[in-house]
Amino acid sequence: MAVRFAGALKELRIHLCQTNQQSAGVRDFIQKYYVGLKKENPKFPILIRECSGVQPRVWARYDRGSEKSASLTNLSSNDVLSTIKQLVK
Amino acid sequence: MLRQPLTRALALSPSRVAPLAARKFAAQADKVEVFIDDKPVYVPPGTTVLQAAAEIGVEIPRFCYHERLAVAGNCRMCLVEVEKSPKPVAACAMPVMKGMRVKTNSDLTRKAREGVMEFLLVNHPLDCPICDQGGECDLQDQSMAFGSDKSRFTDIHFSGKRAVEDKDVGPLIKTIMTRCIHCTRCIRFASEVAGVDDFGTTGRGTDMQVGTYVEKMFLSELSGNIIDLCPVGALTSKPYSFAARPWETRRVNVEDADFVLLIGTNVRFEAPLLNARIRKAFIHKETDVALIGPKVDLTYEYTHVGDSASIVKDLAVGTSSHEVLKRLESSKRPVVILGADQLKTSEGPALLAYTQELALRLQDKLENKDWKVLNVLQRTASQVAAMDLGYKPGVGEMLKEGPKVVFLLGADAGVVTREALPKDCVVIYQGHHGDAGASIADIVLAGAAYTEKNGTYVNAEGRAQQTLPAVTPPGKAREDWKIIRALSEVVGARLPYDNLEEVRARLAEVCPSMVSYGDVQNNNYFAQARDLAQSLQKPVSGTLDVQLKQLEDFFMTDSISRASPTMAKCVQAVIKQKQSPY
Amino acid sequence: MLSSLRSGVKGLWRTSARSLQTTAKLQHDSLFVHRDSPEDNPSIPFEFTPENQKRADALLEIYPEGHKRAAMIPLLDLAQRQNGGWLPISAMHKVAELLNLPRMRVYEVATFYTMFIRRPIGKYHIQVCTTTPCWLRGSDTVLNAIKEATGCEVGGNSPCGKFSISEVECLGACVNAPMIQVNDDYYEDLTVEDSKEIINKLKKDEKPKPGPRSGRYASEPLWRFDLAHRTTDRTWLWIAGFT
Repeated sequence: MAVRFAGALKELRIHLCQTNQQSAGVRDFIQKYYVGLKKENPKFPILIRECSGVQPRVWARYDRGSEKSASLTNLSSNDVLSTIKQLVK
Repeated sequence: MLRQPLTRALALSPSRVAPLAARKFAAQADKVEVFIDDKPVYVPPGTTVLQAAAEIGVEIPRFCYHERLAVAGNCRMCLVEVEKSPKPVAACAMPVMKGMRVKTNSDLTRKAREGVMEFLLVNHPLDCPICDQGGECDLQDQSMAFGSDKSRFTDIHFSGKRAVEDKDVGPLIKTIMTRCIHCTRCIRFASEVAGVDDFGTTGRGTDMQVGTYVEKMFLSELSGNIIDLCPVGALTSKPYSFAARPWETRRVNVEDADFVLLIGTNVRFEAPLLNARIRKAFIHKETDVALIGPKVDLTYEYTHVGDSASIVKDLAVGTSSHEVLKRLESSKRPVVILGADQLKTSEGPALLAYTQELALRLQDKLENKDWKVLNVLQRTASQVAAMDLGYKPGVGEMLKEGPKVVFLLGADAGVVTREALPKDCVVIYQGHHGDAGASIADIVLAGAAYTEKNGTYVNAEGRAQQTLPAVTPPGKAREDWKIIRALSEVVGARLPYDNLEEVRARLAEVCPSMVSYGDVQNNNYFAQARDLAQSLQKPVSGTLDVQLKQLEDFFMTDSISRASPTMAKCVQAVIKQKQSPY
Repeated sequence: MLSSLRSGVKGLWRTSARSLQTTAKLQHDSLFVHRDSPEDNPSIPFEFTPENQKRADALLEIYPEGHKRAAMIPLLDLAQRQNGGWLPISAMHKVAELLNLPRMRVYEVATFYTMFIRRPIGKYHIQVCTTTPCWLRGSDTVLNAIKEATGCEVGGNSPCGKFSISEVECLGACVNAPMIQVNDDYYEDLTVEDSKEIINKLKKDEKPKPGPRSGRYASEPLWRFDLAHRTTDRTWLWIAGFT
C-alpha cells in the first residue's frame, strides 16, 4: 500500500467526527493506515482534525495554495485510502 | 478511596435511614435535612449553614468568607439566628446539624447584621466619593441592604477616626489601609493560593492592621488578584488598565492527581494558575511533585530529579533507579507535564517521544482508562491554534534555506534575528506593539491589537473563543485579515474573502474545531502517536532549561507587557525587593 | 471635653489666621510596622548565646513534631530577655528560622502581645498600673512621682537611658493597689515616697525589695481584727459591707 506524497502535493488535512457513524470508516482508516503512511512520509504534513459533528472530508493542498477536497462520508477505510490516492495524483 | 464515605454512610444507615425513609426524600438518606427560613434543604454533613442557604438561593451577606479560601469567620457579617441557639451564629463557619432551623431574615438576624455593620462603619472612613471601589464595593452594597438608616457615631471628643498608614506592596496594588475592614482575604490568598506568606495582621484590637510589617513588595505572579478579592477599597489597582493578568485557565487535571511530574517547565511563571492548582493539590490532597529541569522556586516542595534529558529516557524505558520511577508506577492518577519550550530544541522530538512513551506506559497500568496522563504545557499565546492550523514549531529549517522574504505575523519573541537571515532578505512585520520583530523589519504593516479586532482565540486546552473589538484601532492600523487580503490583491493573487464570515468559512476548511466556539474537542489516536514516536526515540544528552526563572522575567513575556510602563515598574520593584534584607 | 472647648475659643480669637482643621491623631504608643533604625535593623545579627540555645532546644523539645510553632512565644521571650528587655527584628527572624516559619507569622505574634517590646528600652522597664482600683488608690500621684524622679515620659526612655515607663492595664494585684511592675517584680501598696525610694535605689543599681510596702504579708488584711475580743455583730456587718 506504499503511497508516496511528493511532487505538487504539499499538505493533507483529514476532518472527521469523533463519534458519528458517517466518520466510522475514517476512524478505522486512521487506526489501520495512518502510522504506515506517516512512517513512509515522515516530513509530510498530514493534519488529522477531530471536531464533533462535522462530516468527514479530506483536503489536499498543492503548490501555490490550490486545493482539492473530497467527501469521505460513509466510506469504508479502504475507500478512504483510495480517495486519498486519487488526490495524490 | 472515593467510595469510603458512601460505604460508611451505608453502614450507619439502619438507624438513620429508618426515620427518614418515611419521609418524602428517602433517597437522600446520606444527607442532612436542615430548614432555611422553614424551607427544607438536604445537604451532606459538614456543609456550612451559609452553603446550605446558597443551595436554595438564600444569600447570606459576608465579607471574610470566600468559597476558594479557608474559612476565617472573623467579619461576623454572616450572623444568623438558629432556633434553640442562645446567640446568633456565624453561618460561614457553622456546620449544619440535623433538623437545624435557620432564620436568615428574623428580627434577631437583622439586628445582628445591623450591629456588625455599624461597628464596621465606625472604623471606616466613608470616603466613598473618592474611592475607586465605589459602585462595586461590598461594604457599600451591604450597608445599603443590611445596615441601619442612621448613625450613632458622633466623635464628641474630636479624637478622630481610626486611621492606618498605607503600605507599599509594589507597583500593581494601591493600598488605602484606613478602608480595610480586616476580612483577611488577602492574607489567606497570599498564604494559601500564592504561597507567599508575606501578609499578616499586626497589632491588636483597634490598632490591628493588615500588612507586611516590614516594607516588602508582594512578590508573586498572582499578586494582582488580591485587588479583586478585596471587598472594600483598601486594595485597588494602581495602574487602571492592567493588561497582563493571567486570564487563561489552563485546565489540566492536576487537582485530582496523586503524583505530578514536571519536565522542563517552570510552571509557576509559564502557567501561574496551573501552578496554583498544583499547590492546592500539594497542600490539601497530599499530591507529590517531582521536577526534571533547572531547580526553581515553585512555592511548594518537590523532588528535584535532575536537569538532564537522559533522565526522561531512563524513566521511559524503566531503567531509572530513582525513587520517582517507583512513585510514578505505583501512582493511581499520575500527571506528566512537559514544557512546550523543550520541543523547539534539536532534541525536542526525541524528548517528546520519550515523554509520550513514559505517559503511555503509565496509562497502560491505570485502572481508570479515561485518566489523561500527558499534558504539554504551551507557553506562548496562540501556540495551540498555530499548530492546529498546520504551523510547525521552530524556525531553524526555514532559516537554513536562506529565505528571500520573511513575513513576521506578530512574531516578537526575537527568534528570528537579522544575523541569521541572508543580507538581501526583505523582512515584513505585521502586528501591534512591535518590538523585536518590528525592529528588524524593512516594512512594518500596522495591525490592530487584540482589543481592536474580531478575534478567535484557542486556549491551551483547545477551546476556541471569539472576541469582539472594544475600541477602534489607531491611525491606519487595520484588522489583520484585511491587510493580508489587500496585500494579496497587490501581488496579483487575490484571496477570495471579503468579509469576516468568509474568513471564518475558510478557517473551517482548515480546522473545523476552530469555529465551533466554546467547545473542547477530544483528541484520540494516542496509540498511533506512540507508534510514530517510537521511531523518533534517539539518545538524548542535553540538559533541560527554562526561560522564565525569576519573577522579573514573568512581567515581561510578550510584546504587550514589554511595551507597558507598569510592567517595567514591576520589574524594577522586584529587583529592588531582591536587594532588600527582608 | 475641656480641650475641645479650649480649641474652640482659640479658634474664635484667631479668625484672621488660615483655618485648617485637622482631627487629632488616634494612635497607639507603639508602631505596628517596622522601621529600620541604627539600633534595630535586619543587618544587626542576632544569635542565642550557647546557654540560651540550650534553653531554646529544651523549649522546642516540649512540643511534638508538626506543632513546633507552639514554642514561638517562649522563644520570643527568651530572645527578649537575652537582648536586654526588648525584641529586635533580627531576633524575630532568628525565631522564624528556628521554627521554620514565614517571618510574617512571627511578626504577627510579636506585635499582638504587648509584653513584647519592639523598640530599644531602658534597663528598668517600669509599668504603672492605672486601671480603676489603682487609680482610685492614687496611681496618678505614683505615676507623676516616677515621671519626675526618672525624667521620663510615658512610652519613652529616660535621658540617662536607664528607665522606660509604660502605663498598663490591670496587672492583677488590685488588693495591693496602687502598684507598679519593674521588669519581673511587683512593688505594691505604694505611696509617693515609696516610689521615689524605689527609683533612687534603681539609679544606683541596687535592687529594692519587691512586694507590699505597707508592711503586710502579701495580700493579707491591712488591719488585724482581734476576733476573740473585739468582734461584735456590728463589726461583722461592717466586714460584710452592710454598714
